[in-house]
Amino acid sequence: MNKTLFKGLSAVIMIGSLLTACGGTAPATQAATTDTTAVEATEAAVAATEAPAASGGILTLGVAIEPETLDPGDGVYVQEQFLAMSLFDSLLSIAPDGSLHPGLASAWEPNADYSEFTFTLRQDVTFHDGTAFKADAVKASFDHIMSEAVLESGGKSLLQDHEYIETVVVDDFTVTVKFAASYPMFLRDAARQWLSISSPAALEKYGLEYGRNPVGTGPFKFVQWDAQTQILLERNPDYNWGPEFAAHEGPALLEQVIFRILPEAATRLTAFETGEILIASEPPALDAIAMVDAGTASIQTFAQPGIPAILMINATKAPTDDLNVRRAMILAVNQQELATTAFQSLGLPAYSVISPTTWAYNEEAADLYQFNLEEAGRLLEESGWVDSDGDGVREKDGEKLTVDWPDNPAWSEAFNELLSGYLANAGFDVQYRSMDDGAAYEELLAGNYSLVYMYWTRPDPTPLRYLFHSENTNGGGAWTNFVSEELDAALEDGDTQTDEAIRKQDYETAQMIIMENALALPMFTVNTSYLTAPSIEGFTFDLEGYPWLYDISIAQ
Amino acid sequence: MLNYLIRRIFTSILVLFGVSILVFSVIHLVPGDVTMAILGRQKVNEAKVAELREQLGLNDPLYVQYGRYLGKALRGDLGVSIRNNQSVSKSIADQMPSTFALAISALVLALSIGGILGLIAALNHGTWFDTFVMGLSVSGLSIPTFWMGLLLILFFSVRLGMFPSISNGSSPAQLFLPALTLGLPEAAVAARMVRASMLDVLNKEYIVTARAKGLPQRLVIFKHALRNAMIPVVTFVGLQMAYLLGGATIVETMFARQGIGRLAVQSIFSRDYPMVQGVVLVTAAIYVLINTLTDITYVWLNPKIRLQ
Amino acid sequence: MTSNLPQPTFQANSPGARLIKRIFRNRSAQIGSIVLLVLVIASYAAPLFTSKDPNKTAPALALKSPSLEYPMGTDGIGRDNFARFLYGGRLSLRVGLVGITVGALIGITLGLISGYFGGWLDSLLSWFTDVLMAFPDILLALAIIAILGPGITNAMLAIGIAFVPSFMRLTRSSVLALREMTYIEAARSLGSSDARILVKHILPNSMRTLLVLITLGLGSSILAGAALNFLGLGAEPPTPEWGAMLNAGMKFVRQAWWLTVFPGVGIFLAVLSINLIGDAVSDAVAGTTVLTHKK
Repeated sequence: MNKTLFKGLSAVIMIGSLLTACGGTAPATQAATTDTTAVEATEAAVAATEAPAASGGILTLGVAIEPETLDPGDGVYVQEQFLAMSLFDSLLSIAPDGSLHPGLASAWEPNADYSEFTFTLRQDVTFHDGTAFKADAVKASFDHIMSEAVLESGGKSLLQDHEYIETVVVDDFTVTVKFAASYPMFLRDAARQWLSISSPAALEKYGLEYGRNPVGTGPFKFVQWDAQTQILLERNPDYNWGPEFAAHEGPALLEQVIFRILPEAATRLTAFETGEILIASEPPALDAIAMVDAGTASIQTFAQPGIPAILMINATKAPTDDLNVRRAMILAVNQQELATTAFQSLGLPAYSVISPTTWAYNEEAADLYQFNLEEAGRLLEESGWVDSDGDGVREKDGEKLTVDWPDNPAWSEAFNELLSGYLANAGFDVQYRSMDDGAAYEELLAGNYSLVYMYWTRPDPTPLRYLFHSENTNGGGAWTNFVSEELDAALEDGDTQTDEAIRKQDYETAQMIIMENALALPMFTVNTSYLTAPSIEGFTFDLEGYPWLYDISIAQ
Repeated sequence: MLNYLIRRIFTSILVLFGVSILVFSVIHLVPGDVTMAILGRQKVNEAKVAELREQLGLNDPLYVQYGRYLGKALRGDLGVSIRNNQSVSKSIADQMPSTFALAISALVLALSIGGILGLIAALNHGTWFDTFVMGLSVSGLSIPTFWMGLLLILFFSVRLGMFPSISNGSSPAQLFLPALTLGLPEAAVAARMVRASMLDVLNKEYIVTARAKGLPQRLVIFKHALRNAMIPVVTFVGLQMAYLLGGATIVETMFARQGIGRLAVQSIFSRDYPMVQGVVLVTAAIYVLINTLTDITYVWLNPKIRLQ
Repeated sequence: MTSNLPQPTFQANSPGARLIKRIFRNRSAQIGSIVLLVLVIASYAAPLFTSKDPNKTAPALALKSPSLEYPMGTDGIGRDNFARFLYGGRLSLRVGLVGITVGALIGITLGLISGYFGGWLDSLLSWFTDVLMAFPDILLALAIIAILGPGITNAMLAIGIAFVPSFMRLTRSSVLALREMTYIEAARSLGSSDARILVKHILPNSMRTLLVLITLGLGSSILAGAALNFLGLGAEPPTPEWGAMLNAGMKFVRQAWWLTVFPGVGIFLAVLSINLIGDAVSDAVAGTTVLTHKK
C-alpha cells in the first residue's frame, strides 16, 4: 500500500504507545492436550479430513500487492504482515480493543526497567512441520531476524532500534529476551506479526529460501506460491491455540485460503463481480458503493490512525519558502469535496497532520484553515503573486508560481489530478512528475521538490518526530526542511516523557506549530477497505486494519 | 542443405552473442548510479551501496563482468532477483509454460480464424465477401489490444458470465479470452497472408493446368494450392512469434495471468534489473531459435530456394 | 525493385506524382484520408470546437453523461471529456509521428550506409539489426523505458528505436538492388560524391518501398504509443492522451462508458485511417513484398 521510503517504514514502526502496557494478566491456559508430538506433516487432503467438523469452504481474496517474502522476520510491506497473520503466531496477541492477551506465551514478566522480558510458553503447540514448539524456537526466530540473512525488515528495525542483546533459553518452555535499552513497548511489539515465531527446523532446512517455504504455528499452513499469481494456504487441523478473544476455538473455519494477486483495481472488481473472488481489497469506491446499495456486497472499512494523507511542503525552496504561499495552498483545497470525489462516501477529509482517531488529536490545529479561495488569492497577492498575463497562472518577477511534485502515481493516482486542479484554481502551476519510488526518492534527496506525499499508519502521533523534527531534515524524512527549536523540543519530550498528560500536551503543541507554519497540506484520512460477498461471515479487522481470517466463514 | 544449415546456425549464434552484450549493458545504461536506483526504497547507507556493488560485481572491469555474465548464463545461471532473492532462471522457467500455452492458443485461433476467412475471401475474390473480410482484417489490425481486451471482458465475463475475467491455467475456458485478445490482430494478418498467397498460387500455371486437366476444384485447392500456400504460413508463424511474445505483456497484465510478459512488466516497475535482463535474454533467445527453425523449415519445404 | 529507368526527382508527371495519383484513386485511401484529416483538424484546431479547458477540474460536475453542454460527458473529476478528447488527440498523433520519424531517420541512414558501402561496416550494421530484431518490439520499448525512465519523450524515443531495424533492413535491400544499376555507375564515373549519389539517386528510388513501411508503421507507432501511455509509461497527468485517458476511464467502466469508448474509438479511427491509406500505398507500389504489420 505504501511504498516510498517513509511511507514504507510506516509498516515497520511499532504500534501502540497508547497504553503504558505491562503484562501480568496471564490465565495460564490448560496445557497438556495429549497429542503434543503430532505426526509428521501429512498430505493436505488427509489433514483436512481429520479436521473437526467446522464449516468449510475455500476463500479466494483479491489483493493488490504481492508479498516479497513470507518470512515474517524479513517482511517490510503491509501485504507480508497480512499473510503472516494467518501463517504464524506471536508470543502475545492484541485484541482489536488494544488489550494484551496470551499468544504462544501463557505468561510474561518484564524486569524493573523493561529491558528483560521472561516468557512462559505454552506446551501444547506444534509447528506445521510437525516439530514441537519450544523455547529454542523463540531464540532461533529472533536470532534469525538479527542475522545476515535479513538485510532490512520491520522486525529487524524493532529489535535493532532497541539494542537487542540476546534471547536466553531458560528451560524448554521459558525464555528471556534481553535488550540493552529499556523497551516498554516490547510486549506490544511482541504481539506484532514481524516478531512472530518460525520453526527452527525449517529455518535451518531452507536457509535463504525460507521466505518461500514458511513454517509457523498459525491457523493456516502454507501450501504453494505461484509467483505473481496466487498464494495458497490450507487450514491447520491441529490448531487449538487461538487467542482467547477470538469468536471461536479450535481450527480455522475455512478449509483453504487463496490470495489472488490482482494489482489493478478494475481487475479485482470484475473478478469480484463474476464471483471469482469473494473478498476484494481496495475496490474502486464508486462501484463498491453501487454494489453495496444493490445488496450484492458489503464494504468493510478501517480508518487508519496516525498521519493521514498529507502533502509535506518544502519550506526552503521557492516559492513555498514563503509562509503566505504555503497557507494559500492549504486554503485553496476543499478537503471535504476532495475526499468525496476521490473516494465517494468512503472518503473522510483530514484537516491536520494526524487523523482524528489518533490519540492526542488537536482540534484547534485542525480548525486553522477553512477552504477559502478568496483568502488564498489575497495571501498570494500580498506576497506579490499576480496573474498579469491572464493565463491563469500567477507570476512574480517573471517567475511562474510553479510547484514541483515528484511521485509514484501508484500511490497518488486517485487524487493527484484533483489536487492539482484545486491549486490551479488559486493560480498555481503544479508540475506533477510521475516516476517510480527509487527515482522519486532520489529527487527528494536532491532537493528537487515542493511537495511530498506521505501517510503513516500508527495509533499514536509518534511518527511526527520522523517527519517534522529538524534532526531528520537532509533525507531523514523531515522533507519540509523546517527548523524550529520549539517544535523539536515538543517532539523530543513527546517521545520520552512518561507523564501521559504532558506527552499529550507536547503533541498538541507540535500539531499547532506545524499547522500554523503550514508545513503540510492535509487531504484525507487513509481508509483500508475490503469488498466482501454476502456469503462472507465473521469479517473483523485487527488493530492495524488487517482482516483476520481465522474467524471468517463462508455461508453455504 | 548442410552448408546452409551450418551458415544459418552460425548467424544465429552471432546474433545471440550480440543479444547477450545488449542485455548485459542494460545495467550500465541506467543513468546515474544503478545501486541508488535499486536501493530507492531502502535506507541508503554507504555499506549497503558497497555491498550491492559487490553483489552485482560492478567493481570489476567491464569485460570481466561480461565474461562472468556470459559464462553463468551459458550454464543457465541468470543471477538472483534483487527484490525477492529468487533465482531468475527458476522464476522464468516457472512462468514460461503459461506464456507458451497462451501464445500457442493465440496462434491456433489466429490461424484458424484468419486462415478460413482468408481462404474463403481468396476463393471469392472480388465479391462483397472478399471486401468484407479485408475490411474486417484492416480493422483487426487497427484496434488497440488493451481496448479490445476490455470490451471482451465486459461482454463475455461481466455481461454473459461465460468466461473468467482473471485467468490462470491452461483449460480452454481459461485460455479463451486472453488467447482471443492476443490472437485477433494476428488473425487479421493471417487472413491477409493466406488470401494473398492463395490468390498468387491460384493464378500459377500448374493450377491452371490442373484445372484444365479437369480435376475437381476442391481437389485442386487442397492438393496443390493449399500445400504451396503453407510456405508463407510457416514464415508467418515464425515472424509473429515476436509479436506474440511481446503482446503477452499487455494481455497477461490485463487478465492477471502468470507469464513472462507480466514478469517483465513487473520487474521493470520494481527496477529488478537482473530479472529484466533474464526475461529479455530468454525471450530474445527463444525468438532467435524459432526464427532459425522457421528459416530451416522454409528452405527445406521449398527446394527452389535451397538451390540459390 | 526493378522499375524501369527511375528518375531521380519528382516532377509534375514523374513516377512520384503518378504514384500519388494512383494511391488516391483507391476508395479506401480516400476514406482513410478524410477520416485522418478530420482527426488532425479536430485535435490541432481544438479551440475552434470547444471553449473548455481540458484540465479544468470541477468535482461537482463529475461523471456527467454526454449532453449538448458536454458532448462526450465529463470524467471522474468533472473535466470535459470532449475537450480532453480533442487535445488528447494531438499528443497521441504526435507520439506516433515522432516515433516513426525517429525510427525512419536512423534506420534509413544506417540502411543507406550499410547497403551502399558494404564490407565490414555492412556486416556489422546488419548484425546489429539482427540483434535488435531479436527483441519483440514492445519488450524492446519497455526495456528502453526501463533504462531511460518513463515520460512522453522517452516513450517516443523507445518507439523510434524499436522501428530502426525494419527501416534499416528495407533500405539496405533496396540500396543493394540499386547500387549496381547503370545510372548509378554512370553517376559514379562522372565523379559524384558518395553522399550525393546516396541522397540524389539512391534515396529517392528507395522511397517507393519505404513509403509503404512509413505509412503502415505510422499506424503501428500510434498504437504502440497508446499502449505505453496505457501502461502509465508516457504522458504526465493531467496532460490528456488517448491511451492514458482509456486507462483512467477503466475505473469508471461501469458508470461512465464514455470515458473508455471515446478514446478507444479515437485510437482505432486514427490507426484505421492510416492503415487504409497504407494498404492503398502498398497496392500502388506494385511488386512490393507483403509486409507484416508490426505492433
